[in-house]
Amino acid sequence: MSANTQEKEAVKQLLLEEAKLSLDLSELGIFYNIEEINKYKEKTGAASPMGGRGGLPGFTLPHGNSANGKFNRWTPFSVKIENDKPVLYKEETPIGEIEFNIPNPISHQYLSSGEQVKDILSISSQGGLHVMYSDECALKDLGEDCLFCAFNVRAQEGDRKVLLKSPKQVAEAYDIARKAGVANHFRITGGFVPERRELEYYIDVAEAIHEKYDYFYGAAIIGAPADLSALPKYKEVGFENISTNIEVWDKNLFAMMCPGKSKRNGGWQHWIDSLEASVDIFGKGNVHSTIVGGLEPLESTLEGIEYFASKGIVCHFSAFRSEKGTALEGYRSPEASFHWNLLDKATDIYHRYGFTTQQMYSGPASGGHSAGVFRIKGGEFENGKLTTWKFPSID
Amino acid sequence: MSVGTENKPLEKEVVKKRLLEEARLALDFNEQGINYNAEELKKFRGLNADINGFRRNANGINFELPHGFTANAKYNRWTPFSIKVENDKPILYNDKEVIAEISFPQNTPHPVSEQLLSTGEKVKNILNISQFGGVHVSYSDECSLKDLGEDCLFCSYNVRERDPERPLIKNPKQVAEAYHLARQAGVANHFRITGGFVPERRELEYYIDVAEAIRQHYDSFYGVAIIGAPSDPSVLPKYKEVGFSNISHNLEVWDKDLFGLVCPGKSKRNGGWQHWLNSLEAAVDIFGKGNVHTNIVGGLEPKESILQGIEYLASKGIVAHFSVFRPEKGTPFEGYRSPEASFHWDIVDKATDIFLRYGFTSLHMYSGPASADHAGRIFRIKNGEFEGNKLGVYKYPSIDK
Repeated sequence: MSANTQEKEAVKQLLLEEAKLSLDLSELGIFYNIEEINKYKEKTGAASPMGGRGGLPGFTLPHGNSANGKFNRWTPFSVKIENDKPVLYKEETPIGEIEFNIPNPISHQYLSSGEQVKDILSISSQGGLHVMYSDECALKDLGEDCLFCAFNVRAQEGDRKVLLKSPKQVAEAYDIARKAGVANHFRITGGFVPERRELEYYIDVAEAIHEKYDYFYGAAIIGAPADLSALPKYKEVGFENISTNIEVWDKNLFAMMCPGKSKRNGGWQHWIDSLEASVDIFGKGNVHSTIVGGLEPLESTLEGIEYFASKGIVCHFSAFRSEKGTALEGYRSPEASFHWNLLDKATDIYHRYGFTTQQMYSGPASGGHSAGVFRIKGGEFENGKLTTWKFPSID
Repeated sequence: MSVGTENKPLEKEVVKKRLLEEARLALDFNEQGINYNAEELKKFRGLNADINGFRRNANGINFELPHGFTANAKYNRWTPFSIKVENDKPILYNDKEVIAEISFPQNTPHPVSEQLLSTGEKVKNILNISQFGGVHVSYSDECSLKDLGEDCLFCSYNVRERDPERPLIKNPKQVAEAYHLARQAGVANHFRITGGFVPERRELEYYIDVAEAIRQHYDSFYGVAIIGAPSDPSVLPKYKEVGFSNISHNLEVWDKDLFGLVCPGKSKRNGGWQHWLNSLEAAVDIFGKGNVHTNIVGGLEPKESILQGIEYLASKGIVAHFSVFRPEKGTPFEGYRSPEASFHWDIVDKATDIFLRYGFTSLHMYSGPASADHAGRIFRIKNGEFEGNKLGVYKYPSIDK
């Protein structure tokens, strides 16, 4: 092994250790002085990119891994502002300076209809957009919400300004973001809409974008359509990626956790069939799914990820966080070591099947959870640091 | 919250309220752990404080709150709860606030546990004697579902560290002899027999053999047979005929779909969830209301699902007991965390209301599976079954008066 290779390997291990730390922070939380952090946020504009949730903004660790943590007084981790910089500590030992996320300034620009860009979409640090076309999910009225999902609970809290975004609004916000060079990926998702008019809506949005642009790069996050012949239409209107989110791999658990998805879309097998049929249309690596990591045994999730990968489907995953007002309120996510095992083994699977970093980010929002570790393992870091990945510019 | 101690008698309602507060607090300790110096507490704790008859992971520390509610907590440095020794007394703190002086149960094994059987084993190698005056036998220390890859996902029966002094399968003669010794000592007022699936499911024959061996010395015994739902429910009366007054099939989870995931063996080998339910309902016609039991692992499914199960089963005369899920090393749920204390409190609070509404008794609460005391204590508090300022330990009625 050359000195360079040795050094790179050492940095890789350091970065992987930092990725583990990020999971520890999620599990154990962080202690901080709320007033001090609020002052800092006001001064710097630091905030969560998804907005709304207060507390400590998401941040980047000293070597570039992203992290977040809820307030906890009883934890070894703390953040202190020192010399105008936030520093992360483990007990009395400083880990290093961290960098809070700062939303892109165009988020505050106004649309012709009076809303701000941030009311319509979120801008990621990778230079992509995330649109939730609806802030309500029609499964609620049927009593068939996915048990872990707070989509309808958040809508009730009223912290969203636009409950159903019109294709025109989405296209206008997209246009502003694209001009600013941060619309290199366009993800659209949302709850079930009444009567499942998802396809028509997505077509309308794509057409509204096409009024100004010949091309966009993006992903349509959809429920498995009852009639699989609808799938090519998403491709025809311009979506290069598609995602059908299975949420849990185990078939029995799917029925329990996702009663609506299970009953309304032909059940687990139909979701799998839809995903597999999508590969013929969108190509390997451009079909996605996501699993909520921590709702089923590790082996079950990994079996799903491996199965999907063998079919050319990237099955992303997140770390389950129990949300107030959901059926799983009071649950606790598994330990950091559980999430690490999942992350470690899943990213090995992705590499084994030859997926790329762009594919890791081109599906659902959970892609970012494993993309960092995927990139570290792929050696995508420089000067001892994992830099923020950016979508290739489409302009 | 501060739970005080008084020597003077208090109003029953006041004690009830305090006991319920202690019960909630015990769940908080269980979730958040406790900070203590083990060396410093050594002198207060009995030599047997850490003995555990069920071969589970190390439990942490047991202690008793002022009104008699016992709590258990693992050591944790990062928790608001701590035990400090002040003026030679162990004092429980919540952050900087004193909760109360606590004591430590001595956990002294009943002397009969050490007695020798004619085959050379000790009584404790064959059965556990509970503080309630009952005995618990795990007839086998292995579950044959392991070889089929169909273990219940939460269950560490097959992976726990073995006690080399315990026979893997206890023969009916050994069980009856140990039972006899315990009964002579007045601590066999309830006889619980359970175990893993045995190869070829020879459960019935084995239980009959055990009951018959016991009856060589005694006309009757009071106890429960914990069994898998038999594929042919017509065998159920046989358990009654040989002397079991109670029966339990442990469903483990109420949700039908989750049952398929969490209990693959039980689901595949015994006709599935519906068959288990049918068997439980059929058992009520034989054993009577309140004498048919099941058990749910509390924390593997949403609260509403568990409570729906408990309510449904209660309406049929079945007592659905439940525990607090604790993920065990070596199981597929290793690395899981049990839900928050408030989740477990909600279940135990609402479930005990259901039990009371359906007219179950304390004897019903303690006559089924080993999880009895978890809800049994809250049931007794709500039902006013305590004297003075303290919740005593439940005792089975003596069967040899």
